[in-house]
Amino acid sequence: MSEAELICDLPRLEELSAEWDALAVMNAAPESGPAWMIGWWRHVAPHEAQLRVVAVHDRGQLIGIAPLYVDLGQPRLRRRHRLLASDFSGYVTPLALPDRAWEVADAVAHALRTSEPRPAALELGPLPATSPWAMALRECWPGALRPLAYRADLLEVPTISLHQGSFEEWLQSRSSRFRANYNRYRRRFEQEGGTERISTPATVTADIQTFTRLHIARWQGLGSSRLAALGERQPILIGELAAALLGEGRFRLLILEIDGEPISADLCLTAGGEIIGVNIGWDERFKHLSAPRLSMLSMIERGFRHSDRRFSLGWGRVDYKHAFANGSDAASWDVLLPVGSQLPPALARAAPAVASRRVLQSAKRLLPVEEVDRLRVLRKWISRARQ
Amino acid sequence: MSEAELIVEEARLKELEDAWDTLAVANASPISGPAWMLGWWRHVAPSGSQLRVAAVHDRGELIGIVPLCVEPNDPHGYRLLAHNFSSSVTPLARADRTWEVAAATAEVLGRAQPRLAALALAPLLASSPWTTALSDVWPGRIAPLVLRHSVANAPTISLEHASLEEWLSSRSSGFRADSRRRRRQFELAGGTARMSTPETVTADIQMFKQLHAARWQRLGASRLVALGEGLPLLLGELAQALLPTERFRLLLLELEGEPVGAYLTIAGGGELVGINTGWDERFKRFSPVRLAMLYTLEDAFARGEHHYSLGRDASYRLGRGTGSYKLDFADGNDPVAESVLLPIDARLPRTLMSTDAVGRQIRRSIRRSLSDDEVDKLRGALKHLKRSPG
Repeated sequence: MSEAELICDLPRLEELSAEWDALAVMNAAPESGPAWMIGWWRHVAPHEAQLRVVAVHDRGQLIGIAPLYVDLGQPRLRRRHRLLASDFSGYVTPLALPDRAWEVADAVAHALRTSEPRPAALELGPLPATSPWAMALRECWPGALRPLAYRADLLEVPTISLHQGSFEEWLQSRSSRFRANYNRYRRRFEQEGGTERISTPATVTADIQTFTRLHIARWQGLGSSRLAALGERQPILIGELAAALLGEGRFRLLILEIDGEPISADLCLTAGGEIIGVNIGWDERFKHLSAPRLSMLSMIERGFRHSDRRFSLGWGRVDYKHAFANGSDAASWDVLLPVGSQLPPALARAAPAVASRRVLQSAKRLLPVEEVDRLRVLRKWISRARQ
Repeated sequence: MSEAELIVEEARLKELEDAWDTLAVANASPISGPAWMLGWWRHVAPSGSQLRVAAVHDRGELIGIVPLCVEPNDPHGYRLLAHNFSSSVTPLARADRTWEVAAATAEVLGRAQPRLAALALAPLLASSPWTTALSDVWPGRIAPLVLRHSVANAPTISLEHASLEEWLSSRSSGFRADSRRRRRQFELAGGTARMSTPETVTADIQMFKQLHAARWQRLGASRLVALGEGLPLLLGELAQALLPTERFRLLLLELEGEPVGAYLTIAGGGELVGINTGWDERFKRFSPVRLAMLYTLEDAFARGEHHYSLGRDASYRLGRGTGSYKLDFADGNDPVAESVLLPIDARLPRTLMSTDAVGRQIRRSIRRSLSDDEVDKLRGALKHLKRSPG
């Protein structure tokens, strides 16, 4: 019989790191493991956030974990239980042993129901669209009525399947233009004395500094980068990630250099065969070498070599990713609103978001793709102008 | 660029059989492969049903298939093939091509005749992305309405252990001791277990039919029994398609040559799916179903399968068991959901009425508010009422 434990303090959570990480690997969820989530908690989380992690054990073994927090700094009516690092990741998800998700969801729902503050809204996202968690938590939530549920968003995630064939075969499946460009970039890079290397324990500290410098420089004047906004905390966060994952080859920081001078630093994390790109920094002076593309191609090649299964290119801006992708997945943002005295204000708060998504969805359905693209550009332009 | 083809002829579907089966194996869903689904089509589907299968190709390669049909009692309701005969069925796609296949399928279904008023995606694994994908890419100004009617437990066994013995050691001491005792007793009494081979399969299917029918005579309705002579034909075709690759597994338990029980599973892509069982009441003391499960498990471990799906369970409360043999064996649960997608058009109100959405919602809420015992009592009373003459 499984038992849920509500964890509100970091030391207890850290005790579970090894088992939690094993679940992240099993679920191929690199951003849902302790390295990423605890790192986020230490360096990115809002100041008044409190942990509300539910760990579920069966005969002493961790069979699932729902790593949640609640920001008490938010006004009471706006408070939501969210997944750790949800505002900082491509995908986050509760974790469970295979086919134990519903059992874990049942235990989690009962533990949350009696926790303080009692959840008025539970926001789950960005979840993989194949995730059973939103449905499982809703179905298992105690009480005569299930929580109300709505999907706040659903976005495409381009992917590259790595488990069949080789890098060369994947390259052959790309358009002739893509291949010609790749060969040209590669040739030019090599002609200019370009080399690449992956960080090792010996180089990682300096490489993280390089990444930080290049990333911040790249984003200057371009708008906001949440990673760059961390300032001095950025190298600390990445350093902790490296300390946890580099030994197992799951922290991949790729440095491209020209005659020993770093021109690009690209960071990916992996777990259970899934690769996700965290971020990249590169030197504008070497724009003609298309360092980000070269870097991504090198990461893909390494993925094939390491027998990884999939490279998830993330939601966000997807246009350039389509040239690389040979598949697609989706990320969803689902919100559960438990039925109780807090429902009316939670519903009132959710209504505008739901309505605006409906309008957006309908606009997308009504307008031709070019019009949607134009609107998107306009929206970006307005948001930049505002900043 | 992928293209969808709407297939309405079985002959065209037969041409895709190999590619379809490859997808079923890649998706570890043997029950959604052509052997099971076309068998259902030929022998179980209501007469007058029409095929409406969307096959999606990319550069000549089948990358996905959404096997649907319409039945005469609801000509505008599209359903998955074998929907009423399987624990769960699913459309299929190559890895990470689901959304692309869904988009091509939605496009072709939008133009299909009879005009689609409801697309029932059931019984589908609750973790399946198909309902979301089809709803998201469905053409039209407004996304279709999605109703989720029910979610039911579907017990599973993870086969990641190296052997039956290792798996048993992960179970409770009571279960372990009980399993070993039953098996020892059976073998001491001269009991043996064997899998059907091409040489024995015809006779074995007859035996399965006989044992299954005998078992169900006192228990009420069995959809397999109701097939009559169609049953051996269905199973014979299934065996013909899957036995050469050892994916049709009919286990026979015998006591000094006399059949005691039979248990049928099919496999694909590391997934084993329990189909049905039959056993002779006279040998009840050996618990033939539990014994058959143990032998089947032993065989599955030896073959390196990954996952064993035991089929839906009668438990109504998710996360809580009823003590059935399935739940005794299971170490996981992969629930099955019944969803229906209703495109928004002038027919929606009428379709909504016919789906009994409100009634179902009320029934679900009643179930949630009652304890397990109360639900049991209510079920018993309802059964009693149904059986009472008049």
